Amino acid sequence: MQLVVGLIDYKRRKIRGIAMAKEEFVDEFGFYGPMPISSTHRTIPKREFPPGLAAGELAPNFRLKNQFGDLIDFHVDRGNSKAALLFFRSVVW
Amino acid sequence: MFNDAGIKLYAVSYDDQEALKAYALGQGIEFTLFSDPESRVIRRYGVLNTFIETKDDFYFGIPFPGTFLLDEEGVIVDKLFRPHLSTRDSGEAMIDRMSGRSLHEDDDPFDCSLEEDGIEVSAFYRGGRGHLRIGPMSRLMVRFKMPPGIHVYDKPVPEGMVPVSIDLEAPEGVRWEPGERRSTRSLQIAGIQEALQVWDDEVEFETLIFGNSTLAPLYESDDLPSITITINVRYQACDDQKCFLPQSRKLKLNIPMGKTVIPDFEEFRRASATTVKMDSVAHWQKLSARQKAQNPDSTS
Repeated sequence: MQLVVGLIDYKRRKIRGIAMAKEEFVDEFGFYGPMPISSTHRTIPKREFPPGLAAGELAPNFRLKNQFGDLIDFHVDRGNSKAALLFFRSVVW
Repeated sequence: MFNDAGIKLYAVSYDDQEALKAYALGQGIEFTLFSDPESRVIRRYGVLNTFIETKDDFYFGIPFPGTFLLDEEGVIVDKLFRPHLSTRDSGEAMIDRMSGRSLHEDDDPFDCSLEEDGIEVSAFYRGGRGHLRIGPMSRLMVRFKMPPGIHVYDKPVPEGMVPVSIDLEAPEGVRWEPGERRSTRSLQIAGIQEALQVWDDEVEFETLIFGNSTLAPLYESDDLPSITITINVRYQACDDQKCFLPQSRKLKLNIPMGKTVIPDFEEFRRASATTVKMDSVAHWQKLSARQKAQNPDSTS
């Protein structure tokens, strides 16, 4: 899900939209969020980026459940197709 | 879009299967969403967000967002990761990277200019199916189509000559920076010690572009907003014998704005976004409880 913000204990901290524009909530890219930019999940990496396995490596196989609860073997399901494997944070927040 | 390009799309997150199912149903997602609640695969691929410690229990286990592109044999051929979590690359970027070139499709805003020198300069927008949203990274492509024997220059060039430059005029809230450039070939010119770097035939230049929260007020009106971006292209063309006068081309793209998708939390509703069709509060509570159980040394 494309979401600028994170969410901690939304019952306790009701932060209004206008307050999000305050300096401590706006990062250097110009994005607002309900949590301060000092929050670890809003940290913008400066070094050792991009992360992860390098081009040229075989993508490790894995078996995980899909949204229907079926256990899927990644490379078996992929077959002989090119693929895009997207890592994202959450559909919930 | 991916089907046409012959690319199978998969996504991985730390969400529970029930949350993924609700999201997929609500949003009409037809590709595979993998549930990785213990972040096993996230770790295996080396993308665990290491800024987050177990004591930040809710977030611990999330990845740095990004995409690995795999060929037919399952080998990683490319990857797309951006330092800022919001500025993720578009589907168009993935497809263009895999195919090795960017072609504009029907929905992509486009402008073109052809002048007496026979050079066709075109500009088109690639991302979000022709829409700009707050957050995601899109690309502005500028393509040169040159007649045979003609070339243009990359910097550095000798004094008095003009290399290719691309500058944007865009509303506040639109941020941009140069992206990838194709490789040049070396050209040795009599009287100039260093070989010059040139492009000929056909070449495309990429500018990365995204919208930030400053654009939010544009969504307050009833009409769907759009923005206009002016692209100022400068270059100097030469052939084997001589150089022509430097040229400036002005191209204009009108780009409609789109809405982002946000969870259904009452607090965060805003005009620039549509809420997801799922019970976000219920899923958030389940996730929160699960994360607390999985990270017993949490301080919250």
